[in-house]
Amino acid sequence: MIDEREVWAQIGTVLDPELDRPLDALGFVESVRVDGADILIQFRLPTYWCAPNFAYMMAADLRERVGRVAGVGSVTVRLLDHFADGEITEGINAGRTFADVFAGETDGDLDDLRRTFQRKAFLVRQEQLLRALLRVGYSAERLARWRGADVRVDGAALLVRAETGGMETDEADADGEATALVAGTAWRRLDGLARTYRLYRQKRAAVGLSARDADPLFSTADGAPLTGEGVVEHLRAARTIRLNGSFNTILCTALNRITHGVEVDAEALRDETAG
Amino acid sequence: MYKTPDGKEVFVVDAHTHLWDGSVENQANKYGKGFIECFYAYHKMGPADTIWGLEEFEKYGVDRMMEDLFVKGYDDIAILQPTYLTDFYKAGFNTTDQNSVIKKRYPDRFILNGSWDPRDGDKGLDELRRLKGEYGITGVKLYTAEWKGASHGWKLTSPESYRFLEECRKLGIVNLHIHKGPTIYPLNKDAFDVGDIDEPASEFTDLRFIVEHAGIPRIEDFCFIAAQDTNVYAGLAVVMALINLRPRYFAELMAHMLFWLGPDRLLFGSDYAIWEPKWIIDKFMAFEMPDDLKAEFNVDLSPEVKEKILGLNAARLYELDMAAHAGKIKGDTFAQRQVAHVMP
Repeated sequence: MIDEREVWAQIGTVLDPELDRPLDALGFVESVRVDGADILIQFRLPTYWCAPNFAYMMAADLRERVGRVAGVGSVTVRLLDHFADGEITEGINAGRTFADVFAGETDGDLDDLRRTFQRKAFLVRQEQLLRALLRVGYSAERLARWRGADVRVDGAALLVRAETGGMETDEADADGEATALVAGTAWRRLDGLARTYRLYRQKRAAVGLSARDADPLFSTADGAPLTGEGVVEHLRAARTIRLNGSFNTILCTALNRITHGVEVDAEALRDETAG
Repeated sequence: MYKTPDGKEVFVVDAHTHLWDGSVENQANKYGKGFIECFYAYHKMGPADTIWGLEEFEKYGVDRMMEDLFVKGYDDIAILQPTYLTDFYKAGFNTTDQNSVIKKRYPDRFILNGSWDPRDGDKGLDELRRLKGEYGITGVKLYTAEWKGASHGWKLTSPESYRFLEECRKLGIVNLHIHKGPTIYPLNKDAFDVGDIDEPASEFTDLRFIVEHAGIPRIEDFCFIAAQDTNVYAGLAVVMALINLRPRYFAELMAHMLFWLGPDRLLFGSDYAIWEPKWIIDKFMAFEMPDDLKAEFNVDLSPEVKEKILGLNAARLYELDMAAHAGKIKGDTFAQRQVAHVMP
């Protein structure tokens, strides 16, 4: 017996690669049907013209993730109301590659494209974490020197080695309590930042960057360490990428509402540091 | 002409308009239907009291366009940007020849732009020369995502494209409006990538590359390119419609545009008939940049900046003598009726 909640939990991990937001929150998943061990997922993008390459990635991810649910026999993913819906639906469920399905129209598969957007997502999530840490009171110069070993997760809080962080005990920010030193240890506690940190580490891993104890925790998308000045530059560029993602999310969800009547929870799609 | 409450006149060049035929009779296939319906969804992002019926939107004709732009709207002059789509529409969606109908009837109200497609080869070059000879065009609209037979698009960096860029230089066609679209070849690459503008813009420094919709949905890539190439401009059609949907994001976008490109390289466009210029201009003129963005980006949307965006910048690119032009249109039926009812 398949637990439909598990199916939805897996669907919830599939992101629109351009928007870096979950498909279900975006309102792109039209329906899920469980029939014995067989699952049918239908999804629909905001317009008839949405790029087929991203549609293919989403379809492939849906099929792969939902296939992980215990007891699943088959997963069929169907794209609706799209200029290439037939090719994409057929190709995905036959396990074919994008290059194969659109033979003659590509010069390779989707790996490079996926990487490009993962790098963008990485930069944005790094920006969100850096901005949160700057708000707490850490300096760009100090942050550039943080290493994997300087940060730990404790529940919903982030623990930062006090010495490395560079904030003296008496200099805690206005929310003093939120950044208090954990009594008797060398760690400063930052409440509520674990999620931002975890999201960041996920994308860091996705672009193939490690953050072992001795590695710099922050870097360019190529893995080069940041300098204090680099942090400022990085934040500016990443902010523009983030704005683009937010703008496209607004556009896509507005078009989806207009064309297909799909309402979404805008709050769930907001990026964390949007003004 | 837009008049501010204190009586100042603002000259308006609407840099992005169309006279299209998306009617069912003209649709050649399901793609033609899908295309106009997608446009219609954008249209519906406008304020509720500005929404048309679909049939009206598919084909509206000359008279309605004149009313919307020059009587109800504040346009002084509009640039006609063709979108051929001859694979989707039997007679084309809005070709240069289709647009020329309204230009011929009201020559002082329009600038007619042409188009080219590198996949047309020598025949396309001949056609470009014809457009220059017949209409005296100084600008073109390029749609890199246009389908043609088995091909789903083209890149500005191809050798064939460079032949056309050379020809533009020779013919004095200096304003290139470039629109990216959803399904460009090769399909495994980012269809919206604006990277291929960088190289020709550095090479053809005497041509202006006006990227329509500010590179949406790749605003960041666009900004980084535009910061390097001073002959790259942003067409603000679609961007400005966000003023209705989400004013805060509109403000952030404008702050970015002003930061990366400055106030001299931004062009207003209504994208008519996707939207009518009136409501966009009304909201834009009333809009103020929030203080936090002013401080962070060190930019402002002052009356002077707004004037540049609404008309001065495009007038400069198209070498329009605004005083002379204002004199020419002052007496026409549209200007007279506009003056009669637009005052706040």
